[in-house]
Amino acid sequence: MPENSQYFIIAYALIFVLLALYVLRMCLQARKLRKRD
Amino acid sequence: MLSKNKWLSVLSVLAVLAVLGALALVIFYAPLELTMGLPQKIFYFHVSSAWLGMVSFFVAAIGGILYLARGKEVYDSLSLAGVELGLLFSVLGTVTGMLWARPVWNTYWTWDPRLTTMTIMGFTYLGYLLLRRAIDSPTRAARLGAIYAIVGFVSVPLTFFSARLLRTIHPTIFGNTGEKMVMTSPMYQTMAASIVAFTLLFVVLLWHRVRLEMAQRMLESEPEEGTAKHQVAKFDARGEEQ
Amino acid sequence: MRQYMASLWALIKKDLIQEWRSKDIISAMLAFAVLTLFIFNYALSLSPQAQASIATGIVWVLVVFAGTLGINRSFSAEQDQGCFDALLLGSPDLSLVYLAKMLSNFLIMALLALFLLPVYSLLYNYSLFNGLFVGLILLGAWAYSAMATLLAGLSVQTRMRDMLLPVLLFPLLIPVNIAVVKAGAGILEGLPFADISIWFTLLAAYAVIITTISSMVFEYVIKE
Repeated sequence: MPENSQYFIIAYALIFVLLALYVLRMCLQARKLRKRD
Repeated sequence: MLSKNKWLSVLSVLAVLAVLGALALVIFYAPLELTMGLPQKIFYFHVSSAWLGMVSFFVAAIGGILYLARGKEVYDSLSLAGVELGLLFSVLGTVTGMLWARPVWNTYWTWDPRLTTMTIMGFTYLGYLLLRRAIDSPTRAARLGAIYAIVGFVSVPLTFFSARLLRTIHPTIFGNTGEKMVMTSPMYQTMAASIVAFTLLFVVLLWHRVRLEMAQRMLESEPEEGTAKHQVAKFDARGEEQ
Repeated sequence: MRQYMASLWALIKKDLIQEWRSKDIISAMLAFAVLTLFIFNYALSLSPQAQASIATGIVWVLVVFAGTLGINRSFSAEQDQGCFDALLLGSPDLSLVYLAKMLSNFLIMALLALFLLPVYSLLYNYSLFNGLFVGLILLGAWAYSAMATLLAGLSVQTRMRDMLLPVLLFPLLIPVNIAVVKAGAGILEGLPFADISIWFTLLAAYAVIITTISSMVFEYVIKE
């Protein structure tokens, strides 16, 4: 593994994690809506 | 309430594939840059995030203007969604920028005008969300939010310009972050692919968020059967009939 | 046009008279500013050489913070007394209301700044009496007032009231801060005007743009 690879990994991991969290938040909101319908 | 939209579903899948594809390009196709090594590759998604942070703000401001002019709730939902996504992408842009700066220039923070402007945009987004949360009346929250989005957007070029002017006057103090990278053709292609993929993702997320928001509002405006709100509504209606 | 100016003047007078009678805002701001100047003396060690670059920063930071106190208060009077509605009924042109508020805020800020200059010069033995410097501060006060008045109109309608104004204001005020501090340092260091004129242009552009947009948009701030 080239040196300094931890920055690369953390950066991309963070991108995917935060995007996934946002999508998850929307899914949870949608589920709450469906329950009330 | 939330019906399935075929176009949206297709686009969503496409967006995910595009992002994964771009990631593959970044890892396998883009070459290692001469001086910076692996961390330089952060740059592809970093620039894409920053770009989208800018676009989000534009969307939020347009939504605000349209809402003030036309008054339709969908414009306000657009504005709100734009701000939420804008916060997301600004944070991503700032953090990836810091993670790129540290190994390459040996500092987490550079007073680079673009990075600084993006961080300030993030704070503006945060202010917008706090503003809305602190207002009870939804229409007032929408209206005041729209104003803040517009004024916030207008201040961005002014902020960027002043930050850049500051740097040209004091270039040496903040370290030599102005060095250009040597960019080759595959790097440009990867960059383009990342930006396109992220933009597609942005559109999809925006669309989902606006639909969700509109569905939520429509549900909240109708009192549900059997709830106290519904019964009060019926009672009031009866009173008016007499 | 004459009618416009007459109404404008009447509104400004109202705000200023109210303020003069209570003297609350101005006294609080002045006290705050002078005391903070004292605190700065212990916080920062100011050698004569450092003064040129730092003096503007200190004065301007004080103006910014004390300003939030004053500008907040100017709107909460309206909210508490229910005067928003009176304004709505009385004025056909709501941009007038904004301009009047902005101008009275500007005058208060200008007074504060002009008071600070001799006090600073006295305490730190460094003269800030420079025509161009004063002009810079006044221009900055206009830019500041334009933005802060609009945002105070927003924040005063929230549950958080006063506390929200700095959160909303400070990110959007960055261009003003940079311009004032850099131009001020340049003036005090004796740089030729050509070098710093760009900051003046930036400040003027900011002030004009924000004043214009706020005037157009203000009716949406106070309508119910």
